[in-house]
Amino acid sequence: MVAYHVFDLNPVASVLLNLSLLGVICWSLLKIEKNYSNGHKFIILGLLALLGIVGRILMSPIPNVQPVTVIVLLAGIRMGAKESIFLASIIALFSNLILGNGVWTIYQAAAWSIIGCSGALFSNKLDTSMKLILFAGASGVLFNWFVSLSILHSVGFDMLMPYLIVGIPYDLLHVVGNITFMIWLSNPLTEIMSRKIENNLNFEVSEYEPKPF
Amino acid sequence: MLENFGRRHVISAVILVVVIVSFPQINKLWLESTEEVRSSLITTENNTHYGLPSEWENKQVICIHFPVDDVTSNMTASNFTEGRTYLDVSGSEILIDENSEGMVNYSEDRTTGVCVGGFENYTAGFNFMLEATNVTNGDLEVGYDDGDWGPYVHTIAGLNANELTGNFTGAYWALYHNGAMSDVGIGDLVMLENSVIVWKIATW
Repeated sequence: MVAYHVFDLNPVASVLLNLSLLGVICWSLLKIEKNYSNGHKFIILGLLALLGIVGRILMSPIPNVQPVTVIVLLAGIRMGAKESIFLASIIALFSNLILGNGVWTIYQAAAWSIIGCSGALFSNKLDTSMKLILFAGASGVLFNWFVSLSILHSVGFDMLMPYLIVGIPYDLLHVVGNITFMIWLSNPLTEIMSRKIENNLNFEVSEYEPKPF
Repeated sequence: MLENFGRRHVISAVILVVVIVSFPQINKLWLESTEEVRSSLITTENNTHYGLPSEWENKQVICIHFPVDDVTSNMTASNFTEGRTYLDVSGSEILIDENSEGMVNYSEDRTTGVCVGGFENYTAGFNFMLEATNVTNGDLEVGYDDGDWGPYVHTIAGLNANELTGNFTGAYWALYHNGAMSDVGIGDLVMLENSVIVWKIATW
């Protein structure tokens, strides 16, 4: 049997391919949102979760560069702590179904939740774009170090420090990635997240009186 | 949506791409420059466990040194030719110290080797040696003859000292215990709780 799909894409080509796919998905999702969403929180949360999952999976060829940290952080700031916890857990779970599930999933979900919650906590103070950018950068280091704690399930405490030190270039990637995503995503996501319900989505069953026979 | 598109967008994207592209070099430089800090090897001299992973402190360890000089170029322990490999009690690799030159136990010669450690409660040296080398599934198999003075080890990891040739009369596997040449054979060696036993090739 000949497997026609088996050929080697070089890493750059596969990253570019994934990026263009991600671009198309983001663009179309945001368009759809603009046309159809009436600002209902469930629709917005679903959309953000989808963006996070797709973004993380498609960016996975580049370690630590993904939009999820910025999405949960902005969700915490603009929507609230509960919303960011929901997004953090759903995105961690569903993206790890493809990227690999394990004990780290719970650490990733917890780390993103903490980032979202601290965003919610400091939402009043994060009022300039520069503060947002700095906070996004710091979240990258916070996330990586928190998730690194999961290695303590398999190695002793004295291995933690060497592990963290080895990871510092990866922390740098996460920081630079977060800053870039914050600059690019802050405005469009803020616009979506802070949209109020404009016209009523009628979930109520309209009462009607059955005609008598 | 992108009405506020500006200089920041472009600069951040360019920086991100530069960091990603140069990441392999950044990572390599970082690993090289932090090697000493990251090392979890015991660095106090005069410690019986000098050069060994810190989690093995006060535990029992066996090390086997394979010389890499041209003297014994016909050595066959091909699995452990790069630096020094540290294995835990289950045979899993803890780390490979690729620059083991400064970390060589009890030997001025450059060697490669393997250490298996973290054991406790062994008392009989030969039993310890057989069980500790057994965790590698044959990579460190010990060959010995039963002589009048107990077992005589001639082969470790496929390296038979009797078959070594070079600029010397003969070669043998020499046994060291906690830094000193052992005055008893492996069959009579009584293990301490912090015993480090080392085998290396000696010549006459």
